[in-house]
Amino acid sequence: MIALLLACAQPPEAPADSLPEQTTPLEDPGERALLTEHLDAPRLLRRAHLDLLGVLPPIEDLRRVQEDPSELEPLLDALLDDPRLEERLVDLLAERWALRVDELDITASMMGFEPEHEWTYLRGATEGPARLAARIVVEDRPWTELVTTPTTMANEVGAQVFHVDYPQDAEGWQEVDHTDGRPAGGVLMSPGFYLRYTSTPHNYNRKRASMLSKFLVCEDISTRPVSFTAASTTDPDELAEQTRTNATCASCHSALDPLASALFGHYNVDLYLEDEVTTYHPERELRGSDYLGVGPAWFGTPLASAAELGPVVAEDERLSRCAVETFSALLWQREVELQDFATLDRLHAGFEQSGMNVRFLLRALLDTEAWRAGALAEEAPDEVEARTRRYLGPDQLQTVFEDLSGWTWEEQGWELLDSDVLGYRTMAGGVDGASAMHPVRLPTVSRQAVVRRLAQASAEHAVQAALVDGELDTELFPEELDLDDRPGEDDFLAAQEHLHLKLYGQPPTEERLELEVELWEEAETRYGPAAAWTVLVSGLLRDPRLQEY
Amino acid sequence: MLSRRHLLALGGAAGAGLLLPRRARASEHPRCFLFVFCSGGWDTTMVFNTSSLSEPVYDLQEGGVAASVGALAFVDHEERPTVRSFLEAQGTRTAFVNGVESRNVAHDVCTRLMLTNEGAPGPDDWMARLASGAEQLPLPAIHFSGPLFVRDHAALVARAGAADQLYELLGDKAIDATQAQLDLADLEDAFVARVAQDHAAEAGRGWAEKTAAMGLEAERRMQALDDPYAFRAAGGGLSARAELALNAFSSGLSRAASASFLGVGDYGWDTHGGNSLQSLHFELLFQELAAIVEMAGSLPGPGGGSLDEDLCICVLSEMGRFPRFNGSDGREHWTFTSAMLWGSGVAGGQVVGGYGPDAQGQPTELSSGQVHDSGEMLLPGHLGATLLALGDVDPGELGHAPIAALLA
Repeated sequence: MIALLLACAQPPEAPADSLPEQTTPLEDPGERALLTEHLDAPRLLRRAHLDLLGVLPPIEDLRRVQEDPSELEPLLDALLDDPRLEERLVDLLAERWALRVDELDITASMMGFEPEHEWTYLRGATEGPARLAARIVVEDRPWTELVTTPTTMANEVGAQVFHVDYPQDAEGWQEVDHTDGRPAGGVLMSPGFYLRYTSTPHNYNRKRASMLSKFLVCEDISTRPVSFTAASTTDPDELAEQTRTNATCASCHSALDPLASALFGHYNVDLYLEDEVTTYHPERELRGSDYLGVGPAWFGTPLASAAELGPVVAEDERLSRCAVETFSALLWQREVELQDFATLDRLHAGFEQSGMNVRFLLRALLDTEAWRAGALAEEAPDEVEARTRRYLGPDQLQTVFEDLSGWTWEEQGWELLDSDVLGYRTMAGGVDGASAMHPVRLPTVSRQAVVRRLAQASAEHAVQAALVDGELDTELFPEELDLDDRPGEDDFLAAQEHLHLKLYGQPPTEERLELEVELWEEAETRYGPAAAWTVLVSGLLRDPRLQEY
Repeated sequence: MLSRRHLLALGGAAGAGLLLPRRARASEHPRCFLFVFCSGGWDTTMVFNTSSLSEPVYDLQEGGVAASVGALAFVDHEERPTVRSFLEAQGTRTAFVNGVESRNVAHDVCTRLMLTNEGAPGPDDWMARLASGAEQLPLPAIHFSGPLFVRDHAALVARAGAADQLYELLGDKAIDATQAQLDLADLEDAFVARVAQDHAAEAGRGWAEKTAAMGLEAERRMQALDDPYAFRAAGGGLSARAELALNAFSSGLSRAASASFLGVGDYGWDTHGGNSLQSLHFELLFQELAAIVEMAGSLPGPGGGSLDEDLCICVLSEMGRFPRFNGSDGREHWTFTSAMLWGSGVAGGQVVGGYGPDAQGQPTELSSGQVHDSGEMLLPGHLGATLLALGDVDPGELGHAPIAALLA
């Protein structure tokens, strides 16, 4: 068993800075070639940067692929080594797993945090599972470590809230050990997961079991129809018996309850006692059978202890399949469908061959037709459902605009595109983990209102800091541009072309250049060149071609 | 959704790009809808489920008695005097729908089921679908708080934000704009409307066309919202948000709005412990509803009379609660729940559907609203079809008939 565990923990043979080669053909070109056309190289590069790093590509790279599209592939390869990939993966998975909530039963003040640090507390308390997953990915560790590593992720908040061995002089997120006796199990043992997903005493961890099943093996038990007519009793003891003996009830509970039983080291008798919720209780590990009537098991595999859960999940072939489906959904910006299964099969085969290396999977996904699709092919019927455009989520709005302008939208310690108490996250299509559990990647009236103000504030900050004060290092403007440049001059035109390539990955049309000059001159006449650039840049940032990719 | 050709025609006609007429009215005035969502799962034995008083399967709050206003039976209790007074005043315009089966017990799934009839992400909710029946209005639907599901009609709905965020964004509170920016705002907006229009014209087919058209429509509607104060609530709570909604209906801005109601102290309805709190929640809920109805009576409606003649209120929750108490004086989740409809178009003064001796919903004849073996189990789709019928919106492929007994 120990040897097996060590074998599971072995990293793939390939060194960390190179990815295994794809040996299984990804797609039969004939399957989808008739349906969609690829985006051109600059916009593919743009899409890859936004998906994997959350920022726009460097202008130099855009020019390079514009001149020579064959330069695209090495640039895509390089994205997987970019240090910003980790943070982007945290954003993707935190949203997918609905970890970033605006309130917890164990509040910031209960844990000794001041009001201005409430947002900091919330994120530090619950992001751990996504942080762990992202760290495993960028270090080329096999995905199975998600459920087997003895470590967790914590920052200064976690150091204060949880029982972890946070290094004394460390800063930021660190991979740390638990100190409260919980066994190894990756996210299965993540204190942040259990703080986020509480379970009432009479729920006996079923909700947590349901969430873990959904996130790890894509088995969403909670969406299955529930029919109490089948049970035909309201006696609690009889109902509990029916969960085991009635076929309709057992169809869910036969999987759900044993997993809930396996999580009993996390069982809380009171959801509002700090130490009760943040501490693991090894003495409760085997009490699940007393309450649920079943011993711990993972989908039919009995467990002698909580320590066995991680390795058993790691052996479940659905873990790797679910990883493929999850990352496919994230990069395709839609859920996987029946028609994807041939592609998913091939991706899965490659993923397994790579030793469950997610960076390898991500790179393979960038080669799929679904990812590269930019338009319907001429001969494709109108009703073909192909997601040829994606929309920036609020997390991307934040990172893109901050990267361009240096400006962050914050108030009273809350990041306004990552919260809803004061902020605009769900208004911009985000997930709040309460009433909005799935993103809305579509333009809405409220989203347009958010983008308008975000663009205006970002533009004002960028123009002031870069063009007026000369203090901001940004690729938003070409180095040669200064406020004395006027329409008709080479540097002005160059700036317009630069902006279009940087923001949209496309050159401007003549008509569009003229429209922008009109706007700029009107504004300049009234308020001078800085104001003119501000309103023009704001307008460019609000262009749907920035929001879409 | 407006077709691309329609949108472009509107754009051409409007010149600078602000397209939708301010406060447009339909030639036939659309009925208005206010959704009140009681998140967490309400205890139907407190108001709606009178059969609970006589069935041994239930554990009950002490002191509840069966009462009725005409044929509208309800559970009366001295802790909830406003329930009685509301029903005495509004009983002829109020209908209960009992025994709606959500067929799930997870909050998020039940919420989606009750509002869309689907458990997985997909269709628009009832409010967004009703919005599609009033595209001529500047902002067909406003969401204040609680759940919202949009897809095809995303451009017709705005989130106002639980802390008046839309007011901040439309006004000058959200950022520190310079005076130049404020003065040049119209110029910038016109530019953006133009580029969005050009983008929609060049977008290609399929999903790209759809999202570009949606984006253009959303941008235009957003720019046409010239009164930020239409989204600034005078205080917290349901009635403050409802006031905004009613004003929006009265002025012709919108035809649908939704807000959540979390009861006393915003504790919510998910009472796994301390279920007695629900009694206080219901009392407060009906106080709020009474205030809303009174407000509606004092405002002009789009039909020319008072707003209460054009207003339909739908009050619902994603699930019910288990008939037995648990060990913490609470109730667990239950797939059967009730809904309440009030107002315009509603055949009030009745209870449709019912609960059986096992606390489960009963098959109900849609035409009569009566429990009968030949009837159907009431599902969220029946409720949705009823709302869409009230709103003159094609149910499309919803697959459920309206509860005809509820349609006046």
